[in-house]
Amino acid sequence: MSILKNNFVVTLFALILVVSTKTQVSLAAVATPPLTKCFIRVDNPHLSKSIIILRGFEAVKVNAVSICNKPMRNLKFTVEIHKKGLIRNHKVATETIKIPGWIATNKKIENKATWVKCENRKASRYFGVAYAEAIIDEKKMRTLPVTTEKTISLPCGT
Amino acid sequence: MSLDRGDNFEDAARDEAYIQLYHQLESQNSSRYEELAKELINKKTLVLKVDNFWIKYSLDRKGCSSHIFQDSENAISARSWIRLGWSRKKKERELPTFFAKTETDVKFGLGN
Repeated sequence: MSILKNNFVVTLFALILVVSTKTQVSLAAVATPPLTKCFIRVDNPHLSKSIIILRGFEAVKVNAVSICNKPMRNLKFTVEIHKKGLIRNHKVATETIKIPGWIATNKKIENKATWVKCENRKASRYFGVAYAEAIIDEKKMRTLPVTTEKTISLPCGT
Repeated sequence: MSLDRGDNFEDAARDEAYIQLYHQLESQNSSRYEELAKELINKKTLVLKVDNFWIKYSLDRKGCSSHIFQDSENAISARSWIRLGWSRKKKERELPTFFAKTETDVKFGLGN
Protein backbone atom coordinates (compact mmCIF):
# COMPACT_ATOMS: atom_id res chain seq x y z
CA MET A 1 0.00 0.00 0.00
CA SER A 2 2.86 2.29 0.98
CA ILE A 3 4.73 1.50 -2.28
CA LEU A 4 1.58 2.25 -4.25
CA LYS A 5 1.20 5.56 -2.42
CA ASN A 6 4.86 6.45 -3.06
CA ASN A 7 4.49 5.59 -6.75
CA PHE A 8 1.46 7.82 -6.98
CA VAL A 9 3.35 10.72 -5.41
CA VAL A 10 6.34 10.22 -7.73
CA THR A 11 4.07 10.02 -10.79
CA LEU A 12 2.17 13.11 -9.74
CA PHE A 13 5.41 15.05 -9.16
CA ALA A 14 6.76 13.93 -12.56
CA LEU A 15 3.51 14.97 -14.23
CA ILE A 16 3.62 18.42 -12.62
CA LEU A 17 7.25 18.80 -13.69
CA VAL A 18 6.45 17.85 -17.30
CA VAL A 19 3.45 20.17 -17.46
CA SER A 20 5.31 23.11 -15.93
CA THR A 21 8.36 22.58 -18.19
CA LYS A 22 6.12 22.35 -21.24
CA THR A 23 4.32 25.54 -20.20
CA GLN A 24 7.62 27.38 -19.75
CA VAL A 25 8.91 26.21 -23.12
CA SER A 26 5.69 27.18 -24.89
CA LEU A 27 5.61 30.55 -23.11
CA ALA A 28 9.18 31.22 -24.17
CA ALA A 29 8.36 30.26 -27.72
CA VAL A 30 5.45 32.69 -28.03
CA ALA A 31 6.94 35.54 -25.96
CA THR A 32 6.53 38.88 -27.70
CA PRO A 33 7.95 42.24 -26.74
CA PRO A 34 5.55 44.54 -24.84
CA LEU A 35 3.20 46.48 -27.09
CA THR A 36 3.57 49.69 -25.13
CA LYS A 37 6.55 51.47 -23.67
CA CYS A 38 5.05 52.96 -20.56
CA PHE A 39 7.31 53.84 -17.66
CA ILE A 40 7.04 55.05 -14.13
CA ARG A 41 10.02 56.63 -12.45
CA VAL A 42 9.86 57.09 -8.72
CA ASP A 43 12.51 59.10 -6.93
CA ASN A 44 14.09 58.18 -3.64
CA PRO A 45 12.50 59.66 -0.50
CA HIS A 46 14.15 62.92 0.49
CA LEU A 47 13.66 65.86 2.81
CA SER A 48 12.11 68.68 0.82
CA LYS A 49 14.60 71.57 0.69
CA SER A 50 11.91 74.13 -0.11
CA ILE A 51 9.80 73.15 2.88
CA ILE A 52 12.76 73.40 5.26
CA ILE A 53 13.89 76.78 3.89
CA LEU A 54 10.53 78.44 3.47
CA ARG A 55 8.45 76.89 6.17
CA GLY A 56 10.93 75.87 8.84
CA PHE A 57 9.71 72.32 9.31
CA GLU A 58 10.91 69.16 7.69
CA ALA A 59 8.93 66.85 5.46
CA VAL A 60 9.70 63.63 3.67
CA LYS A 61 8.72 63.70 0.00
CA VAL A 62 8.55 61.25 -2.89
CA ASN A 63 8.15 62.38 -6.52
CA ALA A 64 7.13 60.23 -9.44
CA VAL A 65 6.70 60.63 -13.18
CA SER A 66 4.78 58.52 -15.66
CA ILE A 67 5.22 58.50 -19.43
CA CYS A 68 3.71 56.31 -22.15
CA ASN A 69 4.29 55.96 -25.90
CA LYS A 70 0.56 55.52 -26.53
CA PRO A 71 -2.33 57.87 -25.84
CA MET A 72 -4.26 56.88 -22.75
CA ARG A 73 -7.30 57.95 -20.77
CA ASN A 74 -8.68 57.45 -17.27
CA LEU A 75 -5.23 57.53 -15.74
CA LYS A 76 -4.96 56.84 -12.02
CA PHE A 77 -1.45 57.51 -10.81
CA THR A 78 -0.60 56.69 -7.19
CA VAL A 79 2.46 57.43 -5.07
CA GLU A 80 2.91 56.02 -1.58
CA ILE A 81 5.46 56.70 1.15
CA HIS A 82 6.30 53.78 3.43
CA LYS A 83 8.32 53.70 6.62
CA LYS A 84 10.35 50.62 7.56
CA GLY A 85 9.27 49.18 10.86
CA LEU A 86 10.81 46.68 13.23
CA ILE A 87 8.25 44.00 12.51
CA ARG A 88 6.43 45.37 9.49
CA ASN A 89 6.43 48.47 7.32
CA HIS A 90 3.91 51.27 7.71
CA LYS A 91 2.32 53.29 4.96
CA VAL A 92 2.50 56.93 6.03
CA ALA A 93 1.05 58.77 3.04
CA THR A 94 -0.56 58.12 -0.31
CA GLU A 95 -1.60 60.39 -3.14
CA THR A 96 -3.62 59.37 -6.19
CA ILE A 97 -4.30 61.66 -9.06
CA LYS A 98 -7.07 60.75 -11.52
CA ILE A 99 -7.11 62.27 -14.99
CA PRO A 100 -10.22 61.13 -16.89
CA GLY A 101 -9.48 62.81 -20.24
CA TRP A 102 -7.11 61.79 -23.00
CA ILE A 103 -3.39 62.11 -22.35
CA ALA A 104 -1.24 62.60 -25.43
CA THR A 105 1.54 60.22 -26.42
CA ASN A 106 4.78 60.75 -24.47
CA LYS A 107 3.29 63.43 -22.22
CA LYS A 108 4.96 63.42 -18.81
CA ILE A 109 2.52 63.14 -15.94
CA GLU A 110 3.98 64.12 -12.61
CA ASN A 111 2.84 63.30 -9.12
CA LYS A 112 4.77 65.65 -6.85
CA ALA A 113 2.22 66.21 -4.12
CA THR A 114 3.15 63.28 -1.88
CA TRP A 115 4.79 64.49 1.32
CA VAL A 116 4.38 64.10 5.02
CA LYS A 117 5.48 66.41 7.82
CA CYS A 118 8.18 65.14 10.19
CA GLU A 119 7.18 65.13 13.85
CA ASN A 120 10.72 64.94 15.17
CA ARG A 121 14.27 64.24 14.03
CA LYS A 122 14.28 60.55 14.91
CA ALA A 123 16.07 58.58 12.18
CA SER A 124 13.64 56.49 10.17
CA ARG A 125 13.98 54.54 6.95
CA TYR A 126 11.65 55.36 4.06
CA PHE A 127 10.89 54.06 0.60
CA GLY A 128 8.36 55.03 -2.04
CA VAL A 129 6.05 53.00 -4.24
CA ALA A 130 4.27 54.17 -7.40
CA TYR A 131 1.80 52.48 -9.71
CA ALA A 132 -0.72 53.46 -12.33
CA GLU A 133 -3.68 52.21 -14.27
CA ALA A 134 -5.15 53.60 -17.47
CA ILE A 135 -7.13 52.69 -20.54
CA ILE A 136 -4.78 52.16 -23.47
CA ASP A 137 -6.09 50.88 -26.81
CA GLU A 138 -9.49 50.44 -25.11
CA LYS A 139 -7.98 47.98 -22.64
CA LYS A 140 -7.54 48.61 -18.94
CA MET A 141 -3.82 48.37 -18.24
CA ARG A 142 -2.19 48.30 -14.84
CA THR A 143 1.48 48.68 -13.99
CA LEU A 144 3.22 46.65 -11.35
CA PRO A 145 4.12 48.71 -8.28
CA VAL A 146 7.49 50.38 -8.78
CA THR A 147 9.57 50.75 -5.63
CA THR A 148 12.25 53.39 -5.14
CA GLU A 149 15.78 52.31 -5.89
CA LYS A 150 16.85 52.81 -2.28
CA THR A 151 15.42 52.76 1.19
CA ILE A 152 16.71 56.00 2.68
CA SER A 153 17.37 56.78 6.31
CA LEU A 154 16.20 60.30 7.10
CA PRO A 155 16.17 62.34 10.33
CA CYS A 156 12.40 62.41 10.21
CA GLY A 157 10.11 60.67 12.65
CA THR A 158 6.48 60.36 11.56
CA MET B 1 11.17 59.02 -25.01
CA SER B 2 13.19 58.83 -21.85
CA LEU B 3 12.99 59.48 -18.19
CA ASP B 4 16.33 61.12 -17.49
CA ARG B 5 18.08 59.64 -14.52
CA GLY B 6 19.34 62.24 -12.13
CA ASP B 7 19.67 62.11 -8.38
CA ASN B 8 16.29 63.65 -8.01
CA PHE B 9 13.78 65.47 -10.11
CA GLU B 10 12.77 67.92 -7.45
CA ASP B 11 11.51 71.10 -9.08
CA ALA B 12 12.71 73.89 -6.77
CA ALA B 13 10.66 76.66 -8.40
CA ARG B 14 7.48 74.60 -8.28
CA ASP B 15 8.07 73.57 -4.68
CA GLU B 16 8.83 77.12 -3.55
CA ALA B 17 5.60 78.43 -5.07
CA TYR B 18 3.68 75.51 -3.54
CA ILE B 19 5.13 76.01 -0.06
CA GLN B 20 4.56 79.76 -0.15
CA LEU B 21 0.90 79.13 -0.88
CA TYR B 22 0.77 76.45 1.82
CA HIS B 23 2.32 78.85 4.34
CA GLN B 24 -0.12 81.61 3.41
CA LEU B 25 -3.15 79.32 3.80
CA GLU B 26 -1.87 77.82 7.03
CA SER B 27 -1.26 81.20 8.67
CA GLN B 28 -4.50 82.74 7.45
CA ASN B 29 -6.68 79.79 8.44
CA SER B 30 -4.96 78.30 11.48
CA SER B 31 -7.93 78.74 13.84
CA ARG B 32 -10.40 77.54 11.17
CA TYR B 33 -8.27 74.41 10.62
CA GLU B 34 -8.18 73.75 14.37
CA GLU B 35 -11.98 74.00 14.51
CA LEU B 36 -12.32 71.74 11.48
CA ALA B 37 -10.02 69.20 13.14
CA LYS B 38 -12.28 69.02 16.19
CA GLU B 39 -15.38 68.79 14.00
CA LEU B 40 -13.88 66.02 11.88
CA ILE B 41 -12.83 64.03 14.95
CA ASN B 42 -16.40 64.20 16.24
CA LYS B 43 -18.24 63.60 12.97
CA LYS B 44 -15.69 61.32 11.22
CA THR B 45 -16.57 62.83 7.81
CA LEU B 46 -16.65 66.37 6.53
CA VAL B 47 -17.42 67.92 3.16
CA LEU B 48 -16.12 71.36 2.24
CA LYS B 49 -16.21 73.44 -0.90
CA VAL B 50 -13.00 75.21 -1.85
CA ASP B 51 -13.11 77.23 -5.07
CA ASN B 52 -14.90 74.95 -7.55
CA PHE B 53 -13.86 71.74 -5.84
CA TRP B 54 -15.49 69.56 -3.22
CA ILE B 55 -13.23 68.10 -0.57
CA LYS B 56 -14.51 65.11 1.36
CA TYR B 57 -12.51 64.22 4.47
CA SER B 58 -12.94 60.87 6.20
CA LEU B 59 -11.28 59.79 9.38
CA ASP B 60 -10.36 56.16 9.94
CA ARG B 61 -8.62 54.42 12.83
CA LYS B 62 -5.10 55.16 11.67
CA GLY B 63 -5.39 58.21 9.50
CA CYS B 64 -7.35 60.64 7.41
CA SER B 65 -8.25 60.58 3.73
CA SER B 66 -9.33 63.34 1.43
CA HIS B 67 -11.10 63.18 -1.90
CA ILE B 68 -10.91 66.30 -4.04
CA PHE B 69 -13.40 66.32 -6.89
CA GLN B 70 -15.70 68.47 -8.99
CA ASP B 71 -19.35 68.03 -9.95
CA SER B 72 -18.35 66.89 -13.42
CA GLU B 73 -17.07 63.33 -13.61
CA ASN B 74 -14.77 64.34 -16.45
CA ALA B 75 -12.68 66.63 -14.28
CA ILE B 76 -9.35 65.84 -12.68
CA SER B 77 -9.61 64.56 -9.10
CA ALA B 78 -7.28 63.45 -6.33
CA ARG B 79 -7.31 61.21 -3.29
CA SER B 80 -4.83 61.36 -0.44
CA TRP B 81 -4.35 59.61 2.83
CA ILE B 82 -1.98 60.26 5.72
CA ARG B 83 -1.21 58.24 8.79
CA LEU B 84 -2.11 60.04 11.99
CA GLY B 85 -1.93 57.32 14.58
CA TRP B 86 -4.57 56.25 17.05
CA SER B 87 -4.61 59.05 19.60
CA ARG B 88 -7.07 61.93 19.48
CA LYS B 89 -4.35 64.38 20.56
CA LYS B 90 -2.14 63.45 17.65
CA LYS B 91 -5.06 63.73 15.24
CA GLU B 92 -5.89 67.19 16.59
CA ARG B 93 -2.27 68.24 16.20
CA GLU B 94 -1.71 66.85 12.70
CA LEU B 95 -5.05 67.48 10.99
CA PRO B 96 -4.54 71.25 10.46
CA THR B 97 -1.42 70.44 8.39
CA PHE B 98 -3.49 68.03 6.30
CA PHE B 99 -6.26 70.60 5.76
CA ALA B 100 -3.67 73.19 4.68
CA LYS B 101 -2.02 70.67 2.36
CA THR B 102 -5.31 69.65 0.74
CA GLU B 103 -6.44 73.24 0.20
CA THR B 104 -3.00 74.09 -1.22
CA ASP B 105 -3.35 71.17 -3.66
CA VAL B 106 -6.72 72.57 -4.80
CA LYS B 107 -5.56 76.15 -5.19
CA PHE B 108 -2.20 75.24 -6.70
CA GLY B 109 -3.95 73.09 -9.28
CA LEU B 110 -4.30 69.32 -9.15
CA GLY B 111 -1.57 67.62 -11.10
CA ASN B 112 0.78 70.62 -10.92
